Amino acid sequence: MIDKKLFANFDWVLFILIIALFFISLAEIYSATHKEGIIYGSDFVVKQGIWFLGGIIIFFILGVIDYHFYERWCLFFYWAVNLSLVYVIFEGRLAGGSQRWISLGFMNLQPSELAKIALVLVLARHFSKNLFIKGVGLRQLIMPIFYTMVPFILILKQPDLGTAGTLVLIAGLIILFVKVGKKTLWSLIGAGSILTIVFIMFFLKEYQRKRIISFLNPGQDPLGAGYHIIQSKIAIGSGMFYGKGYCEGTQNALSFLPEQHTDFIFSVFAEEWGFLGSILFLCLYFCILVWGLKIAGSCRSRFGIITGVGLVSIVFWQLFINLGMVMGIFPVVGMPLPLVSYGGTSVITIMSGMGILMSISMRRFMAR
Amino acid sequence: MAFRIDGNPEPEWFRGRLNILLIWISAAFFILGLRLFWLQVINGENYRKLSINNSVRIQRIAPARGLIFDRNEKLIVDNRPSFNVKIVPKDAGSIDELLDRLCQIIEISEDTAKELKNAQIYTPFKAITIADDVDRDVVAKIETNQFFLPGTFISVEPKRDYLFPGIASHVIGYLGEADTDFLRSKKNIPLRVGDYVGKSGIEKKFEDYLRGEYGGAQVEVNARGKIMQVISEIPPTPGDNITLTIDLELQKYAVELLGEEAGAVVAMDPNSGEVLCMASTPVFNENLFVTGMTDLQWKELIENPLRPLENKAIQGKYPPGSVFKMIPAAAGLEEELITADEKYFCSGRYFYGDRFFRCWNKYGHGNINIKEALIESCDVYFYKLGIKLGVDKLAEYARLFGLGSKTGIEIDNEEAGIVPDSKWKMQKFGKSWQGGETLSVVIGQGYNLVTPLQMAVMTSAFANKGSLVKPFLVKKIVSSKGKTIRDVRESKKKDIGINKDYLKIINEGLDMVVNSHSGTGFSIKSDKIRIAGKTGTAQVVSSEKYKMSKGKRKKWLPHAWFIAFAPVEDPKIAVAVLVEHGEHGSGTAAPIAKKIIEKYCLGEIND
Repeated sequence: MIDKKLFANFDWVLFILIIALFFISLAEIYSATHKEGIIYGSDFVVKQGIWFLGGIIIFFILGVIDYHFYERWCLFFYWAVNLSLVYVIFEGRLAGGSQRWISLGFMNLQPSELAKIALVLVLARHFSKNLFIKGVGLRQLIMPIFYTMVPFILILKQPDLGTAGTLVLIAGLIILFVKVGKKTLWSLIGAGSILTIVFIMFFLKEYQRKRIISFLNPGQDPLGAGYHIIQSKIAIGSGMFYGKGYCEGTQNALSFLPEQHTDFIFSVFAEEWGFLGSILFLCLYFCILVWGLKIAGSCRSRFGIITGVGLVSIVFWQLFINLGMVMGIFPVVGMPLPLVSYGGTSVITIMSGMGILMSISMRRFMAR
Repeated sequence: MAFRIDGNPEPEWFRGRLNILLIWISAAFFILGLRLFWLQVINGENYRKLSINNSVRIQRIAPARGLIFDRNEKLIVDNRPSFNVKIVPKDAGSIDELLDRLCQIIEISEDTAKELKNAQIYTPFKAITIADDVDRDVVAKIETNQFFLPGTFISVEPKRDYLFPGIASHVIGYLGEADTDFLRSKKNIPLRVGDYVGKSGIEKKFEDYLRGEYGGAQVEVNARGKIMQVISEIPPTPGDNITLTIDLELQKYAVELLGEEAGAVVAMDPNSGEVLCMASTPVFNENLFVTGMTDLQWKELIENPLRPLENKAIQGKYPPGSVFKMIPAAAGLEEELITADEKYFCSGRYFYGDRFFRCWNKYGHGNINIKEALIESCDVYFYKLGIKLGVDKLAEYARLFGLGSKTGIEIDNEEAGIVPDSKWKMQKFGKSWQGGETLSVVIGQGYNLVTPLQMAVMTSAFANKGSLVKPFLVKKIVSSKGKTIRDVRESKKKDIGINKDYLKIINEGLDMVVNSHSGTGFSIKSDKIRIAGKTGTAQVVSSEKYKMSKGKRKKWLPHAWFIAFAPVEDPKIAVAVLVEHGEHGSGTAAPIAKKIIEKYCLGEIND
């Protein structure tokens, strides 16, 4: 499986783009958590650094493995993830509350994060066998919808509407990519909207509807979420064109945004680096996504292409929702900024995806 | 090469799809860039200004708690505005200087200074309450001196106001500061330490309805913490209003009638299960829990031997005494161990095992049937019946009438009482049941323990001819927008399964208790309304001990019971009255029951 030629094909661009984001992440987490007189920040920076090292190891391991291996084993992986989702719900019930993770001792693993990658792999495998120039029909969509709904419902039960919704968005992007027949597309949109309306109108009670809104709002205080947005907008806006300078942000005082080093890390960045820095930051992300699509485009296996697109879509949606949220375009949902927000699970998940992307990239010249 | 199958996509096709995807992703990034431009370049200057002082503050706006009405829609629990002095640590400047000035207006403890200094570092933007419910002249002083009191402001918040303190305190309950366990269990609600939540009674049980939803505002302040403008505001939603089944006038009257005595009066509609009054004395002033009480006041409350904080109607466990006799009567008839006419002889005492068991009337009742036994409350008749029944059968019937288990009323801390049987004794003491114990139990003494509410439910079962009703206190819940959330007219009913003819015989007996000359309750015969009832005298110490004291020690006097329903023809109210150490049911408890019934049925007070 491992070939010397592989290393000659090592994708330096992908690697360097990722490392660049890592450095931005560490610098901003330090800035967001440090405060005069309180030694507090370094702890987060060190922890995040450890996650990154772990992430890079996973990145290399998954990169070295031939992606056909994933194609062969993805269904097994997919069902294992679903099983662990069931386990998490069951365990959570026993503990008398909601629980989202399995404790591995050194870290808490959230199977709902792994579900994103598992879903991408099974959908890629399915569509690699069911592709039509005119677009797929309803019959080819039955299995993909089923594959999406199983983890979707299990994650909804946790309850974590944010992650569950992301699964649907990721699957949706992949399905649109492989092209859906016009009739099928319209009937899907029609059926989807009718089902959603019926679901909300008839199957949800008033308090459940409210609860859904509070699922969307991780801030416990209904006003707290809106408050974060205002503060986040002030932080971003006050950066103006050139920014206030590194560690010179005034809005990121610990008391203002309790999550500023996790979900709201971008507002810290934008305050310090201004419009100029923020646009460059967006460009960096854009480069990663475009490079991901390029990797997919140069692959010669359908599974590889669709997997590449799926992995790009994971990063894209999280990025788009997170940035939209901190800029006040979307309501507040718990969504980390890929590779930059503080948090082990997110880093490990995204790095696994990047590892698979690397695996596809390194084998771009191989015939099937 | 891949994609060789006919009709399947070629690499070129994929390239086209990827390009479309690229366009969409670019569009998304364009939107993000545009938004950044809007925030940072076009509106950057405004945001920069807002950020200079960290000048946006969040204010939580407390909702008005739901109101509570009595069954006639009379307002009994309201809210009033209260003024609280708060400080935002960030805006306070020097805490010591500020507190020096504030000290001249209000009392400030050492802890407050420490708390504020800590908060200045860790939570500088969260307002801290330093004085609660202050007088209007304090408000005036703080408002006029505002310039010298940076970061200090007055917040007007609704405060609970019990309009009839001490009338239905046990039912309504009171508020207290939320503890951390409670806060943890209500994660999605922006409650904080120090917020008032229901701590007992209806206030506690219906907390989620009454509380309402917090609102809030984001305001821009200047460097001294003065509000310059409101950026956005979410108004609070008041809590739901609750209508009780309680009749406040009746409740007030019951408390009045109990007077200095410790005791309980429970009245309910025997058909619907509505609790019309639930009084427990001594009462306490529930407003004290809201305004805060002195150590002495608190000590008085918890050290009072008459236990004012206890709701005796549901928490007090007492032996039922002769009131219990309706149950062996029903059991004997239903099991066909006795007939209505079958007579037993009472000589004033009964020999069982190795000793005599006395009737309360030492001269004896002669030859009597079941009705007469009830009317004159003959003990010997029931001793004989008890032996025939056996304790386990008796317990079975007692449970049918709801004894030994909680009635399921809405408020907390209800006691189940005890229905003893041979199994219970074996479990509790590891000893087998003695026949003599049955004789105590059958006349409502011994291990038997009941609550006044259970007695009211039992009485209702006779009044409504055989249904066990679940008593309830909350009739209606209406949201602040006028939407009816709950509307209960009648509660769950369970048929007891005893022949109606047998119940009729017992009810005739109860009727004669009050309305015949030989009845133990004849003294309360009403010429306006026909009342049926039963007296009870529950010994608390052995009769020898009691006799020795010659009634001088109040705590050795028996508890007085009276249960009643009226009008006999078509009962509208069932009442259970208990007076602790009230000596005789007929003397202390019965007149209260009579007055309650007359007041409810005729709407007048008769002395």
